[in-house]
Amino acid sequence: MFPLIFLLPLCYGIAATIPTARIVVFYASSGAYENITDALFLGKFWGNHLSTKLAKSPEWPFNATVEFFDTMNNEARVRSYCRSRFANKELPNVTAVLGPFPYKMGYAVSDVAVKYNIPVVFPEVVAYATTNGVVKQLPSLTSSFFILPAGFTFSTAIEAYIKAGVHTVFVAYLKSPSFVQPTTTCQAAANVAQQRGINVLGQVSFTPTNTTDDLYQIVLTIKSLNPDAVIWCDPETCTSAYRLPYHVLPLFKRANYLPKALSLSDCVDYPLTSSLYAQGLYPFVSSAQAYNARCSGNDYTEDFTPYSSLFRPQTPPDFTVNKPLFPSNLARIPVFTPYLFEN
Amino acid sequence: MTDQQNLGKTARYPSSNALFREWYFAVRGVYPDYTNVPTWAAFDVLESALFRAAADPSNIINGHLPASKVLHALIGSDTRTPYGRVAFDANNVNNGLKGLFSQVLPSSSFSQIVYPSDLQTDVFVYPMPTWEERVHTWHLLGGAQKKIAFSVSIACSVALGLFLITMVIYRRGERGGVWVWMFVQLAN
Repeated sequence: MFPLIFLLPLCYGIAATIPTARIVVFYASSGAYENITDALFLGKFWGNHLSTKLAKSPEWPFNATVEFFDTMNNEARVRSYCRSRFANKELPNVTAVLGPFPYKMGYAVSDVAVKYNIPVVFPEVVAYATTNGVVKQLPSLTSSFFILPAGFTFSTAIEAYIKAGVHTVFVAYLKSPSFVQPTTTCQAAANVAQQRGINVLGQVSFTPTNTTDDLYQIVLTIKSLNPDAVIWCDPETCTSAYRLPYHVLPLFKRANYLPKALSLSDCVDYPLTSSLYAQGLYPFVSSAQAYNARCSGNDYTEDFTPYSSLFRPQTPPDFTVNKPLFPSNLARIPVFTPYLFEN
Repeated sequence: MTDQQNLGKTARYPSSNALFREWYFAVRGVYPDYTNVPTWAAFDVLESALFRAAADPSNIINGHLPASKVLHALIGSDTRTPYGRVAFDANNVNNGLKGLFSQVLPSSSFSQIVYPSDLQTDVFVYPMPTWEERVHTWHLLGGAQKKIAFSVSIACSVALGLFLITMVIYRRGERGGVWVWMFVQLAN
């Protein structure tokens, strides 16, 4: 009993010296964007990872608690929660927030968070708008951070077009009040193409209320203009079942027409579109992306920092190739670090 | 190539992206998409900022890490994640990522990166084949190459047949070979 009595104040003393942090993670269990980012699962996993770090690493400097809030895809609910939670003096102060999706919900959080200097990191929401390569930032977003790039996803595609000899392009995009990404991405694509000397034959927007026949008319217009490349921004047709019937590929097939290049905004490699793959509609379709399964190299490898390390490959601390880390006889001893010793 | 250059590119030194995908598939049964990977990147970025802010004792107020200090740590931060490099510009927007241009090629199950060159895994097919060019109709001896292939295969089959007959006759002791044997047969 004595050691326990002795240790309790000691443990309490150690715990007291480690600062606390409260992180609020938003997720949606229902609505059009139900579990789209998997924030609940990943957030719980991350919370456990932080607890493990605290328990096992003597140098770990903070004690984090992760709170979750279900947006239910309801902007008013989110705004109301933020007002009450961020100002609440009885609960521990919020240290940081993982922002919700889509942007209306996200901006509702930012509106309140900025008043309390609470940082909001958005995995999916894009910054306000881009015009001629300039991001216009709203004052309410000064404490918000955006993981997605600023709408220039098609810049690389335009480079590839120029290299391949594309001279003309047609741009079509979804214009939705709840999802601005297709508009900002495609408008930026048209701007960049024009600046790089590609003739933009047309820019057309459509809305979520447009029928497939409306979209087919756009495809027929494209067919009559016959551009070298078509840029089509409606990524939800690959991520949301309710938008799948509006996917553009069956419409190009119906029109019996294909341009020399057809580039979508992301929208490739999605299980939801497996029926279109099975029909043979997808081969040679190109895509402007910020992420691809095959991304590799230093930029896609966590560096040697004391935080995270969950998905960091084990590498030799000394990067010299020809210098063996261990004598050859020791290298044959079985170990549990395959990447370090693998021949 | 040095190990530094190999980092994240080989099976020996896989990328964080590859490791994250492997883990996610193991626990969720599906591969992560462009919404899941940046979500994990956001957690990585937050963790980095929390760590750096908490590591400075002067930032701690009443045993709590204030939001303003984490906000300060996030401004201009540069973090490596499975999603790629996340570096915030003056507007707090990530400019550490390159845009990618990929293409679905019939040869592989996942799209290939066709641009930029440092990430490229295949070559951009331009122009893409039309719908008509994709319909494959099979014709017996439909082209010159098929005719050549057919003639060569017939010639090879005849040569192989003659070789086998020679072998059989040789084993029977008629050492004159197939030509002698055929001549004898014809003479009789």
